[in-house]
Amino acid sequence: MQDEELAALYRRCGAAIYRRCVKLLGDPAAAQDATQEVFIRFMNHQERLDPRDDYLPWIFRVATNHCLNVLRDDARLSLHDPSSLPDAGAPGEAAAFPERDLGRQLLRRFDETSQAVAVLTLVDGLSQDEVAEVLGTSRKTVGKKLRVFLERARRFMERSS
Amino acid sequence: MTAHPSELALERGGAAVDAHVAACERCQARAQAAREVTDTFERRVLPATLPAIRARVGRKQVRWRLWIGLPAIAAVGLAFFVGVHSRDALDTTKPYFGTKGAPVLYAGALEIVVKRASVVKPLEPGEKLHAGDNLRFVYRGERSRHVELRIVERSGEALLFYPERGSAPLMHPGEALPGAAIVDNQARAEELILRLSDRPFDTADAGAAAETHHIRLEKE
Repeated sequence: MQDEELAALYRRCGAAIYRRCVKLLGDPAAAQDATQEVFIRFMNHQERLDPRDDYLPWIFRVATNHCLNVLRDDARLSLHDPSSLPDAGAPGEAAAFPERDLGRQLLRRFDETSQAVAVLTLVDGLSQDEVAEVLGTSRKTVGKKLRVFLERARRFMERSS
Repeated sequence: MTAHPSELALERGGAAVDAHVAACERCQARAQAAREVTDTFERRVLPATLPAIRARVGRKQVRWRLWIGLPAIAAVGLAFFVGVHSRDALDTTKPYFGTKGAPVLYAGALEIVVKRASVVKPLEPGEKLHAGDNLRFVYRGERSRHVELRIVERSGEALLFYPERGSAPLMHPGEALPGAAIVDNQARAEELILRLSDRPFDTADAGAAAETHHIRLEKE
């Protein structure tokens, strides 16, 4: 790849990655480091991506997972009010979930996919269909993981309080 | 008013999202924040990190002795073949290259090597390609000649695979063409155009080559 082509690709995809990393990490310096790592991963996987496809779901998935790893020892994410989100589960179930920080201890109780489902839904407001597209899984799986996350998180919060 | 678009929808944009944002102060603020982050990326992050990105990508290219391949084709959204660099692409240092019996030649001068899953093998006559096959091409003419290879895309346009532009390079028997091509899942045969000449010729001059061969490859 020529220098100018790499620069053009980095300008286009790097900006989307950086926006994602700033959103999740909230720290420009950490986001800058994360952007480079995710873009290098993008370059390594480029041959498996169809140039006709939309790269955004891939960027969302990989950047989210990377940032969650970075955040593992931190707690800078905050939840929207789940009752205002699309497909966040049964109304009573969602409304009962308190709005507060997603901390390290809470996230650690879940596998990587569940963490991503929770962040994409509760932080980014993605619908379950969008989350399924980003993670390459079924909507049913997303819904199930989200329900389990909300139930366990509520219990965790109750115990914590 | 429609529901607030998700972060993904906001990134993608579109008429419905734009209409919502135009009428929603909260989403206007979100979009403005995204623009500011993009501006920061372009003004500060991009210039600060691009050299490191170049170095890291360059190191990988050297390490794996591979080429990015087909940037021009990728740039126009090639419809059926996409050439890309990859650590998984075929490595001409592997034992297969030039070590086994008489190679199967297409147009009398081109060997096609296919990597399917972890298996690397020559493409046999009549053997059908599979979607995802990774192809490399080896020039095996009887003497050194100037070589140009094109891939005919779905629209019928024959796009340059090698070289990317300019004059057709002189290749020696046994030399692998840089770059790899990955077979897509379009249900149609693939066509290659191989041009050979003892003298240098410009790829922009279609009639300049001494020989032109059309190679048709069937797909499953």
